[in-house]
Amino acid sequence: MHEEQLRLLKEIMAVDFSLVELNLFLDTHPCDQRALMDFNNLCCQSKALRRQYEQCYGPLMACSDAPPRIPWGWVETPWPWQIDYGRS
Amino acid sequence: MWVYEKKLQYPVRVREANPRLAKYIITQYGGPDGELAASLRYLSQRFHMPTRETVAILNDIGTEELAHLEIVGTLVYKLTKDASIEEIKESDFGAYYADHDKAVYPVSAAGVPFTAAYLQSKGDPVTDLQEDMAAEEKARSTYEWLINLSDDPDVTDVLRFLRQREIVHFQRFGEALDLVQEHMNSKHFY
Amino acid sequence: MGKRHICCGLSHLGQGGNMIKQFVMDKEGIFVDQMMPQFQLARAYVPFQAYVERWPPMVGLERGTIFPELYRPYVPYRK
Repeated sequence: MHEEQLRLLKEIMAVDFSLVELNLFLDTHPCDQRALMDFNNLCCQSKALRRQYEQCYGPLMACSDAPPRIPWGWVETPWPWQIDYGRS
Repeated sequence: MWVYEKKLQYPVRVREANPRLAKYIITQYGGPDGELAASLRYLSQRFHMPTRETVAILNDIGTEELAHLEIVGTLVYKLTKDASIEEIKESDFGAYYADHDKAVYPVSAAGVPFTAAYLQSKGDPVTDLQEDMAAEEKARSTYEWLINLSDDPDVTDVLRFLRQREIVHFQRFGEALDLVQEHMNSKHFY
Repeated sequence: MGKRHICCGLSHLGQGGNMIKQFVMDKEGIFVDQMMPQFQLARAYVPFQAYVERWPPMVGLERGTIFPELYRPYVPYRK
């Protein structure tokens, strides 16, 4: 996986991890306005990053923003356990 | 239902083939305090939670545990895929290899196959949430013992991430327990 | 803690803070509850977290949480 693709993938992982954290926090604090605002902002960021990634490198989800192609990108791009994530 | 995303929650790197370490780590795949047990426990218990918040937290932590199951599976896969038969024979991994080759199969470190007896779904939300808090602590301890056993800094890095998640989940289940107890007080259950 | 989850719109910071103050430390260093009869024997309680601050996404991912107050790194006692 190219450096730029990996960088973008890691950025998506990071934003989505913050979303998981805020999601769990909001489950038990559903009226916390600051957490909800942060969640909504990060949600927009995640969508924009995913669109950018999928247009360049193929789908993250089966129904995606990736441009149509044959063979279908979903079966062509690597699975997460097959990716070399480089040096930390 | 669930929708799959073609990404891990946390990037998994390993330095080199290490079947001995894989043999230990598989316990967090299919062992007594592993991610499969955690996921099934929370996703089964969620149906009988009495408040909206507590259904949500069990649903969402149960879902995150599936992502952790995938991370642990990835660790085992990457630690074994380039291991030679000689390395396998010299490590503790030989007994596992005899039954499963390098396939990922839910067993404990001692080779005991996964069983639903590792979890409970009791129908009493206070009882279930206390089990869940204990489960998070047991998983945290297991990750600490695995960190002590690890001789691969990249693997240790992943184990540290997973261990920290147990602490966050414990906090959320503690809050859920409080919400349930308050709900039951308001209903004069006690 | 009685009305916590029905106080929509109130900050959980204030409520979390109040809740911690409800535990008072006695001479033996044991936290006892002096004001809140709702705290009962033979029950477990975890204080509610308040949303104070969060780390940026990449720092959060590296540490396994975005919440500084929940970050408890493990120090191996051997090796």
